[in-house]
Amino acid sequence: MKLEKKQRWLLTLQKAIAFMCFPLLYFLVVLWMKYIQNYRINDLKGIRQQFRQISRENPSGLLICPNHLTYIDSLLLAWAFASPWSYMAQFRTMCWNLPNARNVQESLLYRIICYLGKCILIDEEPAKAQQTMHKSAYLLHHGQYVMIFPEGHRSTSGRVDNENYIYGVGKLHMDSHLSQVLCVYLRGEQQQIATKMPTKGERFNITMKLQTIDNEQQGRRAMRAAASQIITTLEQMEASYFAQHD
Amino acid sequence: MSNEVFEKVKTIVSPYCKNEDALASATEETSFLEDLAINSARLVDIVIDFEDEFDIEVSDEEADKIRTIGDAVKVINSKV
Repeated sequence: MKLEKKQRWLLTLQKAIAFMCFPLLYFLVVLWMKYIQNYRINDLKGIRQQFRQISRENPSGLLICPNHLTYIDSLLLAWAFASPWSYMAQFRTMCWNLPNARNVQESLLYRIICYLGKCILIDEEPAKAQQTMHKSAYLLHHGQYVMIFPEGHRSTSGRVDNENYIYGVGKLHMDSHLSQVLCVYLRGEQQQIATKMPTKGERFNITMKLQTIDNEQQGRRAMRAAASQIITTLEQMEASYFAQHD
Repeated sequence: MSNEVFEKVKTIVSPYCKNEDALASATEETSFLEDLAINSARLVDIVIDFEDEFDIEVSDEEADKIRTIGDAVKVINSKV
């Protein structure tokens, strides 16, 4: 995966600045989530152990595909996956995120937070979106972790959206040349439908599954098949969640 | 041929279209994304359906240029 020298340099710079600001940013975000919003993640220790194990088994990059119900899903997952010390030791495991540029463009503060939080904005203009996908594939090739929400939007029904999901995740998987993706199911106990924020005091459950993508097709058919397998896995994880919690 | 292709394109697009009125009155200038409210992932499905229906292969570059029904008809006509 080739990327212009300037783009590579800008990504390296962003990573370096994000690393320097990481302790403060992580502290502030977790302080806000844990002590102001009073959020809790069930079995945090077990989740971190599992993520550490997955990291060990995947010394190359990792594409992480969670379901999407609130604006802060990626923050909750960053908190859940590893301690700040673990991230400092292996900063590549702190995921790059791909938020929609439209959601953050109007606020300078949001843009700064996104930059420091290892985000690459996805523009709706196809050429710019393609550039973001190239950068993401480049990062995956270089051992970085990238998180993308395969549904492409928060699910309005509150369940994994198996009709309007994006195929870009399939393309990214193909371009990454990785055989597996990490599917993650995140849900607050009181979460019914998609909301901007979880309710205060929410307790979250997280399950993870490394999914091997079988794909014998080519081109856009392969892209669709890969995206479809990821969504199907998330649906199965959701079904298991409700079987356990209903 | 062009009219026949145009009608076939409308039939293929129909299951993905969220604006039935716009499809009923569609012209060659009708846009898939804006006028017919079809999202970009479904546009990929539509291009795959074109390939199956007309037994053609559409390259990524050609697919990227398909914005309107007329664009689709032009690409299909150049291959059948």
